[in-house]
Amino acid sequence: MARPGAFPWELFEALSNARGVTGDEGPVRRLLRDYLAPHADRMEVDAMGSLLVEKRGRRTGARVLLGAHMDEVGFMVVRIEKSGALRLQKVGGLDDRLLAGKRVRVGPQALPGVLGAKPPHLGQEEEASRTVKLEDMYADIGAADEAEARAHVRVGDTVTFDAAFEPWGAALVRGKAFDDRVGCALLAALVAGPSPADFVAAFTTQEEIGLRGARVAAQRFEPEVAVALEGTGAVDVPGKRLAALGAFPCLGRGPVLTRRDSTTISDPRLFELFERAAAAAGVRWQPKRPGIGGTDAGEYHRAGPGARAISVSVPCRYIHAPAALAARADIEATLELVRAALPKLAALQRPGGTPRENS
Amino acid sequence: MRSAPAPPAPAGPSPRTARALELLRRATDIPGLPGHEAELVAWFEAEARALGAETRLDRMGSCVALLPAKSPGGPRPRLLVAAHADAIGLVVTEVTRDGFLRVAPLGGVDSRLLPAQEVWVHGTRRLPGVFGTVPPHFQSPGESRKPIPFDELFVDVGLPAARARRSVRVGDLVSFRTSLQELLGGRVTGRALDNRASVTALLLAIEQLAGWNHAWDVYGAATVQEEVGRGCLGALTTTFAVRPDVALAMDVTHGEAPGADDWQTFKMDGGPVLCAGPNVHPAVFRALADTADAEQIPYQVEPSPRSTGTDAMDIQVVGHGVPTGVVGIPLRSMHSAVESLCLRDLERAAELVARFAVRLERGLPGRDE
Repeated sequence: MARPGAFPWELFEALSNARGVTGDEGPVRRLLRDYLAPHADRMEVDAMGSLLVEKRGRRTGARVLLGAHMDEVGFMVVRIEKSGALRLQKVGGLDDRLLAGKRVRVGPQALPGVLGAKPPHLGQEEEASRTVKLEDMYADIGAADEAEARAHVRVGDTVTFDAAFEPWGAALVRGKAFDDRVGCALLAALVAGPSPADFVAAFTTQEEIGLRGARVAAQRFEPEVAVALEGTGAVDVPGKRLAALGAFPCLGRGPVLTRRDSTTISDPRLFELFERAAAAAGVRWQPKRPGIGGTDAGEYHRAGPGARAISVSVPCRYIHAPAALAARADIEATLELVRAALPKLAALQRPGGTPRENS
Repeated sequence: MRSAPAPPAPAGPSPRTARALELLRRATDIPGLPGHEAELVAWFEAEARALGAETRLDRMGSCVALLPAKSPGGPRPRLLVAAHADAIGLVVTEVTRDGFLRVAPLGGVDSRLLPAQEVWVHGTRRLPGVFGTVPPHFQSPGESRKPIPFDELFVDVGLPAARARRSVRVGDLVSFRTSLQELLGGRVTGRALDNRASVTALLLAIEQLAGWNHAWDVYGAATVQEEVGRGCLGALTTTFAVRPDVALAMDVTHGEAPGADDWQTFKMDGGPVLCAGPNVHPAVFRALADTADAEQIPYQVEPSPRSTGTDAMDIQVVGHGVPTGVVGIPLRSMHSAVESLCLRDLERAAELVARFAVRLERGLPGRDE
């Protein structure tokens, strides 16, 4: 049994392996419900499928919402062909160039399959200079014809990458859907631990197609302070463009704090609060590259009369790919930082006010 | 009260299919990259010995397994059945300052299949690795429309730079990390099915032949270095050593796939594919086809107007020349980490080769026509 308050590694592994493409988050939600039932003061599933958990703390103050999204990028089966091949469309942002030749799992039964494309031997010379588009690929489950495929798969079934969670040495873990199951695991850990203040934990749906679950969750609670917990792209990897821009965030340099992304300008006081909390707790943090990406904070900060919002993220290499890499130390430090900041969040007033110091 | 009759148990794989699956799983778990086939060849040798074959390793690293004819008498004609043992892969060309690996292909590797591909890096120990990618959020506009060239691809082993440099050296091998996976309908997917499918079929054929009377000496060879270089090194040297009277090359050929032209591909589950053309002796082709007809083994014909792209290219022209045939297994997504085939085709290829060897008792009809 992990010590109380420690990061729940087993839950994270189960969440990473669970399959929940946008709109089909059920398996992730069920895992979280079971895990959180003994710790939540109130739980509900809203019309979007988001799991909303109320946690009472020792104190009340500003309405605080901490969020993490349950959905992952993937595919949907849009057609079953006479040959038994499945044609897919993307759900969420995926680069076509990394899809061909990868393993997938299809439908509720997690049927094994592969993403096939024309072999290079048969390609014409000019084809080698072109990327292979998803339209030219198919998921192959081994079915000899349409009838065999239809016995196992239905149009509308979702398709995930096939990558089992695994440790990479002592320092790293690798797995599917760290964006944003790492946020879900962090948030679950906060709910499961003792809380200094009331907060709502929103495990949202449909982030990857436009922050849709977060919008409804925020409208339901009208938070005054909101924090999106995320897995964000680490780009400490080779690349000409990255070399020119500066290759950060990096693995191993702690939680990533956002000042501005494509959907939100983080509330400056909230940013400062996290900066101070990090300094007080001795947690090393790093900035997110401004202007890139977007999170549920993009909806949290504009719901109802508006909220102070920020994203706090775990750096992960290779998000929006079959599997990502993350550093154990970064994940644990992110939990430590959010836990250190949590008592101060409720002391923040609505935008326009000044922060009340804790008495 | 009478109990209802138990429903029939679902039909599992036949013992022969289970055996094929077991052999294929082991064969595809071994990296066996070009020029580095020793572990795979040693495994083949052990399996062939266990089936009663006499084995020897030749100078270039290929293994030849002999099933001597059971009939008494003087020198017997020799049949060589060759399946290349090597599989495409990659080799480390640079360990960067930051600990990432640059790689080059060993054999025909399409760089467009590599981004996000999982690999094993065979350094001082076996390390998991993955071809790194840059998420869409960080790409410049239009970047995703251009393929990533080999020299921009990199492998991430998740180690700090100093440890990566201690664990991996230039020249270390990199193989696809995809273990064999069963699909629907008796199909399987994995790496190196080109040509471990044929190596497996060859073992199944040896297994079958070991229990039969055959008038020829049958040599089954796992040959090295088909996928690289000028010609097929293992096939060339092994054939020189065996001096066969007739030879078969077992290899894979393109299986039907959505998007591929029907006329260039062969039916999955349609049976073995027999090449016909200048690289194949017409009498060997005919004997293979006659055997398949007589034994009711479905087969397909692949016209090969120039070269078959198999060990047969070199076998045919060794010494005084060898009448050669090619038995293919339809394979989808060749040279990827997710090649797939139908196990029934593999089993039929084995059956055809074993039956062909037995029927050679009467010689090779039409050999001198």
